[in-house]
Amino acid sequence: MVSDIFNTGLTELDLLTLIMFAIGLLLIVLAIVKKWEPYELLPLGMGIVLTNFPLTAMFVDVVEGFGQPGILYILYNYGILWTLLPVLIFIGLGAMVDFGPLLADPKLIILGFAAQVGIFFAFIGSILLGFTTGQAASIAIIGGADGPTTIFLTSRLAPEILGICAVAAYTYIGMIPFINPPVAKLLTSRKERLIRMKTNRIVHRYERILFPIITSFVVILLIPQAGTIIGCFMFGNLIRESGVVPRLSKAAQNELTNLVTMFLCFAVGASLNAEVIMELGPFRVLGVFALGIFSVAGGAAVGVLIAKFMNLFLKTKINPLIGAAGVSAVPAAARTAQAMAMEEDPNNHILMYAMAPNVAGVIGSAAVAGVFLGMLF
Amino acid sequence: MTHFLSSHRPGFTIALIFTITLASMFIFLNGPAEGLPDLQLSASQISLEDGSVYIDEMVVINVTLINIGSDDLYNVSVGVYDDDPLDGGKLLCPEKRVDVGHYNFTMVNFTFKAKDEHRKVRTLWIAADVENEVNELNENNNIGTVPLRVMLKETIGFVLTVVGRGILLTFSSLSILALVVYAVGYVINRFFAEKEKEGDENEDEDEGSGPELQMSPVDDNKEREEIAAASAAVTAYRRGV
Repeated sequence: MVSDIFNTGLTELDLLTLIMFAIGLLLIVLAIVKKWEPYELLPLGMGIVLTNFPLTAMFVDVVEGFGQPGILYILYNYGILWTLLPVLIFIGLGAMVDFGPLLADPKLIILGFAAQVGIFFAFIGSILLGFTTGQAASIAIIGGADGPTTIFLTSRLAPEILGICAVAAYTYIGMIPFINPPVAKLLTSRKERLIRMKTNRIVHRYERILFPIITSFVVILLIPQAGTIIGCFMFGNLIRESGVVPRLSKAAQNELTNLVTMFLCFAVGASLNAEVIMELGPFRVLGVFALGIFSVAGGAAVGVLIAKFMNLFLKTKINPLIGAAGVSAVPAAARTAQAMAMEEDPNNHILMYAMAPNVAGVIGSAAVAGVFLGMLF
Repeated sequence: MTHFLSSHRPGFTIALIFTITLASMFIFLNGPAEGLPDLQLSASQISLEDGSVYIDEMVVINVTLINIGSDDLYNVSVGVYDDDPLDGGKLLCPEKRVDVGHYNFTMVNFTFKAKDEHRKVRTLWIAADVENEVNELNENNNIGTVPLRVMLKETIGFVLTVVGRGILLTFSSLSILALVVYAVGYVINRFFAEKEKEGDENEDEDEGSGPELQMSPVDDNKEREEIAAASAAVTAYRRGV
């Protein structure tokens, strides 16, 4: 009698639901204990846990008998599928990024591009493994090591694998300190890692103000589909560099970014329910993770190789380790390059130089996302 | 129930009786709409068997037409268009004609082959009675839309085109950006370097003109200390400390 009028979730639990709980809790543990991208992985993990509770109907389009969608579905539908939250994140990111090191040595932009080549390798690999073009592009963009770009592109091209791609992207961003060093060490000699870079010139304030405006014109005119991301990114940077709206700059860097990141990751986690995993199948899920790490490592490798290639023609050599920072996980990739350089020579400080390809990588990955959108969407 | 209404909620009871009376009067005076059909079609009544198809695959659209009017509908045209039919949209497959009884519904489906010109995401428009042949209660609820994605097959040529064009576009855009940034930076720095030089020359000239502009030894030392502190801060910043 009681079971007729009051259903508990206990009777609805199955193995896949328990696995999803475990994945969600694992992400929460990684965020709290290992401190891997905690601002992203914590809401992501909690979103996964909540969406998999049976009978809650939190991620249901229209609840039978009530006619109202669940709260997680509302966040997902209007925040992610309308691509509102990933785009807002870019305003905050732009306000946080200092393009000074890049402006001091513009040729390092090339390294930001080079690290994106791994994306195209992963794209081919994904097609060969049987993913559709949209899914392949979404998996490959994980190599850009840029969470919001991955979510932006995947929500357009392959929403069915959005949750998996987002989890993979943020996991690998957290793992940059473990992925990049072996790749960079394998491709460089000790002598190259010891290269000390020349002091950068001082960047004038007008250069900083003009940069977001010029970048918007150049990149959006050449790759119109990257307009949404680049436009918001550069708008955020203009807020920062203009110096006339300090309250806006502070709000974009802190309140906006924190709140949007929380809702974004929470909603993405909520999209990762057991039914979605069942539809995709375990091999495809594992395939996304395998190709994702291949893409990140491939990006770092190409960045290092292009830096070595540039050294063939440059009088003042660049430390090839900064090439690995071209994957746009800001600032984790640059810090990793710095740590590698200091391992060889404790007085070799390359952080500021590594920041140049690092922030150029954000522009690069947004450009590649635009290219994919233009050709596949 | 009567006891509850009268004794505990007198205000609620009065409001309830008032509402019921008003509703009854409204129905009595206006009466139910009679004699006219009303075909209803909206996005929620349209579904695609597969929202993403490859070029040359068949697109299957299922449409549920509901007649919410009190008269039957006969021989109503329904079609699938590539754009708003009232704004020049063209038919993607032959129109169909259907009958729908009053307060009833009918299901109809359309199929057509996805072509290269439909590639990327397209909005399909499904419209009934575009020519307005049937007199309805509401003539503004006969159109619904549904998004369709038409993709190219993952042939080797297509994949290589995406990769090649992608690399070229990204490389060219970032290279042009680097060049423009370099050029703008060069011009700005040159401009300000010249200004500073002019300023220094003026200062030298002024120094010779009178002793009142010369810094006292105390000020000079203070300035040197400030410059030294600023240099140390810049060095520390560059070193990522």
